[in-house]
Amino acid sequence: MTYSRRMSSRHPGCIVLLIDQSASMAEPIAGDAARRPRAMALAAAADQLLDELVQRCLDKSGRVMPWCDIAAIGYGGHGVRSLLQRPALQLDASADPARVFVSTADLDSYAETVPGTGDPLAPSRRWIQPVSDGVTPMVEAFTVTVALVSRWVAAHPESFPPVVLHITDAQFNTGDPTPQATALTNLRTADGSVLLFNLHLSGNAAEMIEYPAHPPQVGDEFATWLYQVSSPIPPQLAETSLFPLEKGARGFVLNGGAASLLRFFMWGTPGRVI
Amino acid sequence: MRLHCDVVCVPRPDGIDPRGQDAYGFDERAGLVAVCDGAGSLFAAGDWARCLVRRFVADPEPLLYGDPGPWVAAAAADWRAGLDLDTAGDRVRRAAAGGSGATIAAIRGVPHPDGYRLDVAAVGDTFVFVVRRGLLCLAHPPLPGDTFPARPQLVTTSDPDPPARTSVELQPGDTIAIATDATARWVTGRGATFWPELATLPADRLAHALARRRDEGEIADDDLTLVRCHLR
Repeated sequence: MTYSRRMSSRHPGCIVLLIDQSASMAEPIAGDAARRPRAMALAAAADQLLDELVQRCLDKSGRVMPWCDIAAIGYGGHGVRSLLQRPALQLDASADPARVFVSTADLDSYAETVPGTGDPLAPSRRWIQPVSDGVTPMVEAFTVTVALVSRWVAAHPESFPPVVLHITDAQFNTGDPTPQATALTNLRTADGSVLLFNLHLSGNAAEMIEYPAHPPQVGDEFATWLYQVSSPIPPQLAETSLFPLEKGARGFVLNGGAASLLRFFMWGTPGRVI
Repeated sequence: MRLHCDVVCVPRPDGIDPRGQDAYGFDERAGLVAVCDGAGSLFAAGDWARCLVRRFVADPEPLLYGDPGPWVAAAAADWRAGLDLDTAGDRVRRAAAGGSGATIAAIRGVPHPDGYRLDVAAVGDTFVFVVRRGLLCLAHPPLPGDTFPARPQLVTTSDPDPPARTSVELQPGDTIAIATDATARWVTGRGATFWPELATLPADRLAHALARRRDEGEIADDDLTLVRCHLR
């Protein structure tokens, strides 16, 4: 029975946010009344996800359990960086997972406090800075991710497999990352293969396609590529979906806007297994 | 005649609470039994499950026969009182505001001049099974087939889903088994030949079998709870 291991101190989970921070992320995101730049909407949604993960690992005394290791990796004109550390940590394939992954138990200590909104129950922490700069070194980002995740998997062979949530708005332009993406999804623990879910951000009103079971027929090679490297959604996760999924649906969203971004984060995170 | 109960309870070894997030309670003289399964992704769900069980054993009628709204509100007040919110940090206060949830199955045995009736109420995927002469003669709520619901109905601290209620006449020698979802899924997946075993296997052997199968991955990585009641 795969994809059934619940996250725990002994068998923590692993979530990697892989975030495009290239120049085009400065453009407005679709479906956002405030017309925020994609980088800003993405940072806000990622912060919400990180906050929610900590909340899910909370016991009644306020102790946060070390049930999940998190990495946030950004790629753009600055290269590939780990975004949770201050300053952001430059990464290459030799990166040490112990310096990049942050346990849910420690995540709050990496956050900045946001000025109060007047609502004592509103989230008040920020982890991800919005950045938009330069090229799209996706191949380098996937290379680093494969290296980090493979070491994490070796150290946690019985855990729920890592989930990589990749958000991009553009074509890769420093090489073809297909071998790296394939290598990533070939990694596995005893509980299943690594899950790679991709979300393509859009600034226009083009038709959004969420979690398709067939390649999108939109005449866009990049969309087809993203679909092909996206993991099929395991039935154990599909059954927790709040909306119907076709059999064989993949973890892929095309032309997503602000709302789909948040849904992608919350849905792609295996909350049921925490 | 009255119910005689035994318990199989095998919490997850790595869970947030060493007691697990399932809870059970019974009063054999009053014929009352409740089993709850705290929703794992919700805050202090084991505490909520224990509050519901205590509330049922002390005051069973609203869940079985009446409006469960005030009954749930009283249990929720117990739950909040146990959280020490005055000194809690922002995360605990936010989590408490979000509330908690659990499934429940509860029974009351009612002797009457012609026999013995079992009244049952359940919310979600904690199940009551009645086994008679080795055959399953009641599953309540009705079994969902191959796939148990990923998002079962819950008794939440704020908005309870309505209980599914039923009654059945029992006979001497009947066994009632109340099981949380992972145990129920395993029990029902073993086929008709297992029902006599379920009724007669000593509790310690059943607990050992459940723990071993969970370790081997045959049973979901979850708390496992089963309360058995024999009518005699």
